[in-house]
Amino acid sequence: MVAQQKNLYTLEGKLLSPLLLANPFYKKKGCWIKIVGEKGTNKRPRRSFVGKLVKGERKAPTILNAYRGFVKVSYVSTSEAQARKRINYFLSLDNLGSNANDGFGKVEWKNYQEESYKKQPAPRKWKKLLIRKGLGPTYPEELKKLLLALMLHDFVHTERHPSKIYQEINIENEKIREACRNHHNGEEKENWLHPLVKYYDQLASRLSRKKPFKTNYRYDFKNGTIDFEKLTQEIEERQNSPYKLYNYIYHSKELKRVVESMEYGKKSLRNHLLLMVNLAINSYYNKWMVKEKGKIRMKREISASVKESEEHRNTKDAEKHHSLIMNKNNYSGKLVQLDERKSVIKKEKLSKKAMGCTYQSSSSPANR
Amino acid sequence: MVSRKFKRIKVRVKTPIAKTGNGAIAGGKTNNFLLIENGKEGKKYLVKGIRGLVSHAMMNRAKEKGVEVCHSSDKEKTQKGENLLPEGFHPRADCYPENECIQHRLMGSIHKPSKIKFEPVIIVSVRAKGTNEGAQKVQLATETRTALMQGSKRSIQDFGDKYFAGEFTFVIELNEELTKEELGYLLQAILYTPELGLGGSINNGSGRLELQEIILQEVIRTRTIGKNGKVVQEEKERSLWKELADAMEAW
Repeated sequence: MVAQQKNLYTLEGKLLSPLLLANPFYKKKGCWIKIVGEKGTNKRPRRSFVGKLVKGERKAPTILNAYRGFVKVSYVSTSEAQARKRINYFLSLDNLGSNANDGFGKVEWKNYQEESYKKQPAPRKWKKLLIRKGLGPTYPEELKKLLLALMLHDFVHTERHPSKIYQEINIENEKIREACRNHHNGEEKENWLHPLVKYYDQLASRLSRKKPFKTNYRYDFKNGTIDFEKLTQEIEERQNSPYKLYNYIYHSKELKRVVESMEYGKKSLRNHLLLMVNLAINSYYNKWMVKEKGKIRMKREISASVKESEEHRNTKDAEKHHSLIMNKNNYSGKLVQLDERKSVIKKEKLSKKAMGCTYQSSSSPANR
Repeated sequence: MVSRKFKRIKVRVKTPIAKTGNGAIAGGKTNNFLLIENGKEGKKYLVKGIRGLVSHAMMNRAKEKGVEVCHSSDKEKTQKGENLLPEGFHPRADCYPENECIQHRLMGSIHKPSKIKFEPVIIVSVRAKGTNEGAQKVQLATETRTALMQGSKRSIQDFGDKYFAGEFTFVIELNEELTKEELGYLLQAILYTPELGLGGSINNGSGRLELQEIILQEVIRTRTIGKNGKVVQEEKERSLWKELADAMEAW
């Protein structure tokens, strides 16, 4: 039996008024509708926000999201009659999206095309970032030091903010202490830990900060107060062992209640620290880091990448940027992606050859 | 070929100055319009608030006649207990489905779609170059204002309002066939709109409207795919003067 030739039918139009939509790519009547920035390209559309914005306030997530540019309706089928029926349906429409009676989403249809369809190769699958239940046994000393610095960096007073648990932890190791205290400041050329702490702090916060939620409280004191003195003591006792400290942070109910940023009040400090550690371990195993003379450095100069990453404002850009750095460093593996929505626990054994040990993966930390 | 037959009301209006802002932009000090396009041909904006203006005109007209209609919202009280519902109105969609009022029949609510559709009014500066398809050319500028300290010329605060001036047309498409009464109600509301004014700063002299022309048309719109896949759109219009005159007397 010979497979019938599939055809791709596309109808293009120009948006005369903003189209109110949550996503610029959706399905209707079996056709894919895509909003693009320029005609005949796949460029991202421009966004505009419909609704009242309060001066000086951040854009609320409830504000209506609108797109402007061009509309591309595409349908793949072997039957011409079916395609014609669908294209005629869209041709009869003057508006797309919601609030059409207020004049939003007005379309002026421009072009219609028919061409033979070639199936495109499937996009590369992204691997989800899994938060480890515990650390592996074969980490080198340099990585252990880095992990300690990453886990302790928010428990000291910095220029930008005081310790996030109010009390400063007395860190014994001088290099770790300096790296933690100055992780919001400029470069420290002598301390190899400093650029790495700065880089992973920025990367982790960009990956997790998506929807702003302002808060005035560092933690939910209504559900009982936290004994910060005790918490400080507990962390101080474990400051020499990354295994113990990771385990403590992982199971800590107090750190789960502490907010990482006042602008993003739904992100906990615990998740932020665990995310940083896991990102660093992944980069080490993927050979994006090099061990050199008792220290670790990124294959590409971290200072340049930190400067560049400051320009990337949104999380998607940060993710892309991260992948870009890694790809340049002969990265052959797959990029990790954070998915906070799934609460289903997955167990996955990573290959022993690559890792040197086995890990038990767990659900996303945000849903704990 | 796809064709659709419907009726529409075209209203030509002139305004000396109107400020139909979209609210203050975050971090900015200028009251802006809703930007649609910022291309080589210039910036295109959407005039907001026309549907609301006609809706409020309808409510005023009904109140004058002593007819109880839907209010603009279904909210009756604030959190502090202040009354938000004026006399002579019921909360929106409270009348639906029994005893549906004329306002709800026309404007709809979350329970029922509206019978009328407002076409977007897209404006562009007179100085803009190019064809500017679908846009109407008006004067666009920003008025800068300063609040001075009493008895001195010391500035306390300065801010800007974007405004437009000139002639523009707004179109109301009828999604369904309206009764004479409904059409009359809608037309009388349009005639009432100059009493209310468009946009903000009305007490400061802006938002005045001069109605130039109101036409009721029957339109047959056809779309065909021509050579090289180009979509061709054609419209055949027919004015309905008699129907317009009858509707005016019906309500």
